Amino acid sequence: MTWIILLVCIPLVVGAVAVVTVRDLLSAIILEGVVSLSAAVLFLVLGALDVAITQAVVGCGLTTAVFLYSWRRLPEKAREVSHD
Amino acid sequence: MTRLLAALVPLGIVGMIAFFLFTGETGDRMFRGRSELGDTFSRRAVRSDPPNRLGPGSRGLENAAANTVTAIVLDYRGFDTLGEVTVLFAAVAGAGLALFGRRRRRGKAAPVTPSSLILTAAAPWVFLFLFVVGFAIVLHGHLTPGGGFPGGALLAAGLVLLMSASGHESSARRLHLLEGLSGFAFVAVGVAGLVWRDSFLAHFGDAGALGAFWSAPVTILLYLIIGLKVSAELTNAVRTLANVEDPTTEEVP
Repeated sequence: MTWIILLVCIPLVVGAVAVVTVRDLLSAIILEGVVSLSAAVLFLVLGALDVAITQAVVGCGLTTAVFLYSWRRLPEKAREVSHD
Repeated sequence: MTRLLAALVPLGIVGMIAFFLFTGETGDRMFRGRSELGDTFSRRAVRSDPPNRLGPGSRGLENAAANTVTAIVLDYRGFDTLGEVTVLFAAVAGAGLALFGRRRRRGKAAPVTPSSLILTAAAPWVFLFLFVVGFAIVLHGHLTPGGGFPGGALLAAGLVLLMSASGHESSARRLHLLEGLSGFAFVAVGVAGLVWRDSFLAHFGDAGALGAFWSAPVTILLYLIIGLKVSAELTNAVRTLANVEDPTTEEVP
């Protein structure tokens, strides 16, 4: 059980760090979805089924969709983040 | 000084209200009332004495929802859920007011980019799957974890997928109608409880057998209403957010 949780936490933590360090905005949006999906799997493993469904749908589906819709509106040069 | 006063006066008023609410007779009634409700519920639903032990098929219950959390959320604390639905409505309405009004002023429709073949080909099938699973979760809310809120979100995800695949937005008027009607239906069910039973949102009618699909009919009805309302609201929210003009692109002539 503990090992499954730790296994699920790897993409969660790595993805969360990658979201704020990656340069391309589209990659950041997709990584944010991956983080949400890992959190949903974590909730599933911990036995909170309804929370897992909500996290998967709202966190991974709808939020990512909203971000992608906004990303589509950005001009080319705004699609990359500069970490100075 | 005036700022300090302006902060102190509301704090004092809130403190006075809290003092009168939580002490004396009112507070007594509040907390005793809560424990009474807890006792009543445990006597009726979770009693453990063997001759009266509840299990699948038990009848004659006040609320036969096998999922105790649902029984509390939609029946004993149904008014709170009505407030929760109202909060969701207010959030979506606020987002729409802040963003949609600006778009109206500009009077320019969002540019439509053609969707990819993968999306257009797969979307109807994925939508069908999400539709069936969403309604299954909504309709089994009284038996299994889930219910109207997650199920409604699943339905909304399906609608958003269909929306982004077909390129044109689903009709705002129909979404608003569904939203308003389901909100009205929630209150109507509550008033029906007030008419046929003793309180607002009380469970009326035959509760049925514990664990059966057709048990706790009012709970099923309320979760169906909530599912439809949440799906309409979330779809509408994504629709609104997707159609907003970006200020940086408007500068370009």
